Amino acid sequence: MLELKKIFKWVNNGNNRVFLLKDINLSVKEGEFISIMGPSGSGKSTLLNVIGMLDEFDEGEYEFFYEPVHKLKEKQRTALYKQYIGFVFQAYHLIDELTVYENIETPLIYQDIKASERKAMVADMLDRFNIVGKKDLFPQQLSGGQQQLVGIARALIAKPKLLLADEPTGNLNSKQGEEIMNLFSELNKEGVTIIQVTHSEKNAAYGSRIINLLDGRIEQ
Amino acid sequence: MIKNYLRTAWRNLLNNRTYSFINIAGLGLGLATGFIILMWVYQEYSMNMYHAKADRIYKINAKIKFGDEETVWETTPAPVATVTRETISDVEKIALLKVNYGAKQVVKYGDKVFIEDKIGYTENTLFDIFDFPIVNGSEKKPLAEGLSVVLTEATAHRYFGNDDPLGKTIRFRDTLFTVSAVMKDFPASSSIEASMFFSMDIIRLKFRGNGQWKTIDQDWGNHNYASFCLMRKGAGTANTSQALLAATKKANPNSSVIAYPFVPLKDIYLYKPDGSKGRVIMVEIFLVVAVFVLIIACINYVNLVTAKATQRIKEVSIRKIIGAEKKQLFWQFFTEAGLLLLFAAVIALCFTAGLFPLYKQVSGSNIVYDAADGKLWKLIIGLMGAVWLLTGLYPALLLSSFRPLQSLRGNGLLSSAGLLRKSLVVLQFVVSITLLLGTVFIHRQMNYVMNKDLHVNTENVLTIPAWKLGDKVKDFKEDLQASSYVKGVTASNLSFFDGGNSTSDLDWPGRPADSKIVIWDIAVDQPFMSFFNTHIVAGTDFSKTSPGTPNYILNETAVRKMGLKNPVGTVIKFHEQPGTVIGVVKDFHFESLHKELEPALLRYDTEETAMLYAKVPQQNAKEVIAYAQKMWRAYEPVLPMEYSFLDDQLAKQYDKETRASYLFDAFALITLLISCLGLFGLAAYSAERRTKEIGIRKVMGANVSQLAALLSKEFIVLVLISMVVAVPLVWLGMTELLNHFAYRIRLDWWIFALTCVVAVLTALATVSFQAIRAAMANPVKSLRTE
Repeated sequence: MLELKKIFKWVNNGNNRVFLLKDINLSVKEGEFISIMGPSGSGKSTLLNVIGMLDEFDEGEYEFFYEPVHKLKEKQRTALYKQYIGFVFQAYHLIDELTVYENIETPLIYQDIKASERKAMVADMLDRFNIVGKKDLFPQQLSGGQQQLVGIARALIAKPKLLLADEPTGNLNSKQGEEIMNLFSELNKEGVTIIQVTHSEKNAAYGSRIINLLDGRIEQ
Repeated sequence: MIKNYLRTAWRNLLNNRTYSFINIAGLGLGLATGFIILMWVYQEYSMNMYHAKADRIYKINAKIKFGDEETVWETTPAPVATVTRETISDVEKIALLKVNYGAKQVVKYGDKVFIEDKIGYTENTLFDIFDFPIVNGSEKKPLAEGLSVVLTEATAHRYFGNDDPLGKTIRFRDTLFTVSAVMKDFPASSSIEASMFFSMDIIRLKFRGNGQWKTIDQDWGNHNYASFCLMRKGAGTANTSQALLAATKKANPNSSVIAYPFVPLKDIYLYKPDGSKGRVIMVEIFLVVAVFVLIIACINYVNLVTAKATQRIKEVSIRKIIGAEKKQLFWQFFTEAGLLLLFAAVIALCFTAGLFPLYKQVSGSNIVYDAADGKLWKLIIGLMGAVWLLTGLYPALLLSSFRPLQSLRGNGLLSSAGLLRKSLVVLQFVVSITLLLGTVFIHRQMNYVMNKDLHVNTENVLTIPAWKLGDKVKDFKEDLQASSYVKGVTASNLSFFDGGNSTSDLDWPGRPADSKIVIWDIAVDQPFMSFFNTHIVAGTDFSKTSPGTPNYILNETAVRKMGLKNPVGTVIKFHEQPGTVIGVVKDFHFESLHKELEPALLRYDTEETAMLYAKVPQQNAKEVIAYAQKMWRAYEPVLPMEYSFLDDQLAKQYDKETRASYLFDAFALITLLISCLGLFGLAAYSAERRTKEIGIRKVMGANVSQLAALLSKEFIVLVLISMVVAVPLVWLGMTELLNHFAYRIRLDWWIFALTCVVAVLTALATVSFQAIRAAMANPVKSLRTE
């Protein structure tokens, strides 16, 4: 599904070059559930963002569904990830001014899907996550777990092939976290490829493969 | 998609009520002000331009040389038209027009009497040149042969009600005229106006073949008529003007006309006859002010939106991450600006509706909204479009260009926007301070002009134009004197602050051969000088002179210009009549202070009385006027007595400036208000953004005043920079403007200083409110929320 070859990413700090990612080689097949682990500052989120095309890298090659991402223009990249990638964040990152319903609907709007179709898709999603009753509430009116459910619903609404999650349970209590992880397993069984960044061994265990990062390198 | 944009925009407005209010109110106020002024400017510029052939219509003026002085008159002698018709092929049509504005004349229909003050004389060609549609009667020949008259619809209705006016006869100057056509009323955008037109033939018939001018076509001496011509397509006016001059020189070799400038129709209302800027100065100033006000309001919007941008970054990032393209985000924010503009427009509409009557009253302008005027709508839509672009473009570009990750991490990438914001604030305050300073100077000038000693006592002087009474003036004057309330009466041919006679027919011993001066010829009665408290500086007044004696009194300016060393006793020639200078009067002003004082010659002669002046204590004014009116009716039963008070007449001379100064007050206030609204918003934002810093500083021991100073400093520096830019601008502008006054104030440095201090204090008050509030907040709380 995607392949990273010799990816380097750095920032220049005075005369020193500080490496955020060093010689990353990673290939992910469809249907995998990968957990990226490592201490703070090891480059987990950076790697996830590079995979999600939110961040650029300085050297190396990145192929996503046989498209050379490093050669694409921003517009093409946007089009590519709009179609294939969904994002889930630790801090949920819902739009405060929009209701639950509207938050979930927004990605569809950007994909130029017709209003009637959008309505059906959002209704399905609300149903599936059991939040129909909450659809007219604003994010501040929900608990953290509920907000994360909305975040996941929003990430999934456009039927992505790849779900990227940056510490999705970081702000949740253990019960809520467990629910979210169960949901991820279920999604993975339905065929969604998942890459998550996590601090927790327990959550990492839900995955089929664990990648350990230290100082921007993959530990073998 | 639009629905989604609008929804977010709406909720954003609600969530940030203060910002929204400042933004919408500021923009609304700016739009309303800008709109009202632009309407007026538009109306001024479109004056006379509705005629289909407007671009080919010219007015022929006459440039005259008397001695050394050149003047341009707006009128030509009648034969100019005849010569043009006969010899100038590039002129397709020419029409003479004479309208006696203000002169009250009697017209009768049956027993009904009407007082008309806008009677015109013209030719049928006028209706070919201009779009003055005939609604009833012949379009080809509205003025029929013989004694005919064309009425406007309103006039016809006044005279005949709903009856058909055609064929009816009205009586004017003891002659019966038949109504041959009715024309549409003159629109507000026509500077040509009359209540009725008689044919030029009537004037033609008055020439009976005797006297100096045998026929009207030989009367080269009287510049009585406005000449309008329609040029052939593609014909230039320069050659035509030359040809006309040559042709008239041939017909009248003695002519003092040295050129016939062709003035395009679009200029006749806005420019003076000599082509210098007239009314257009005001129009241009106001146009600039309108644009300034609009720009200031737009700047406010841009400033507040970009300042708020950090708070929108999160939303922008999320939207980008879930698939929004830059284009889509751009439209979202552009739509948002549009929505806000729409609200602002509604507010502007309310402001306009509320302010309009007031504006009309203050400005004295008669703006007419014509909802069917397509051009007007284009103007409005164009204006709104421009404002939309100005307010929407930059913020939308800025907001949509955020890189998603950078902004989620929430670091300040708005430093470049910060610099722009600062420049915009400076620009705003440059404009505000400029207008504020301009206003102060205009007020000082007006005060100066109104309170300057004119060396003539204008208090409690009732003025009555009396020339209509003809030889009965003397009787009426005696009647006035008989009233016990009247403390004195005097008569003159001079109408104070309005006009009088002047001539260059003056000779004196020692006059250089080529030197001529134009001197005012003021005929007065004996009490004139004591009545007006004028001061004799040498010789005597007329107390020992009998009427009609060639004894002259000169004013100081005349003595100076004539170069007389010992004026009293000098024999000078006035209108070829030798006479002795018996006295010199201290210069007194008989014209408004727009004009430099001119030489004047006073002589004792009561045969030319045009005006009567009566000194009347204020509390008795009503009785005296009623009494005078009664007496007047005995001599002149039809035309009403007109009167005014000299002080009012003087004030009227400065009417335009006074009104303009009021308007400037308003505009200066509005721009300052809008700028302060913006500053208030920015300060609030700045305080909010620096909450953490303030908290930390407070914990370290900073007190409230130190913190308030810290927060206010960045804005006050901007206002100071604005001052440095504005002061020279105002200096240049005011110097230019004050040149229109012959008597003017100095541009004192301390006024600049004082006004700037006021501006800084206003800004300081605006900013420190927010700064103090932020500084007083509990640091623990602000640090915790971080």
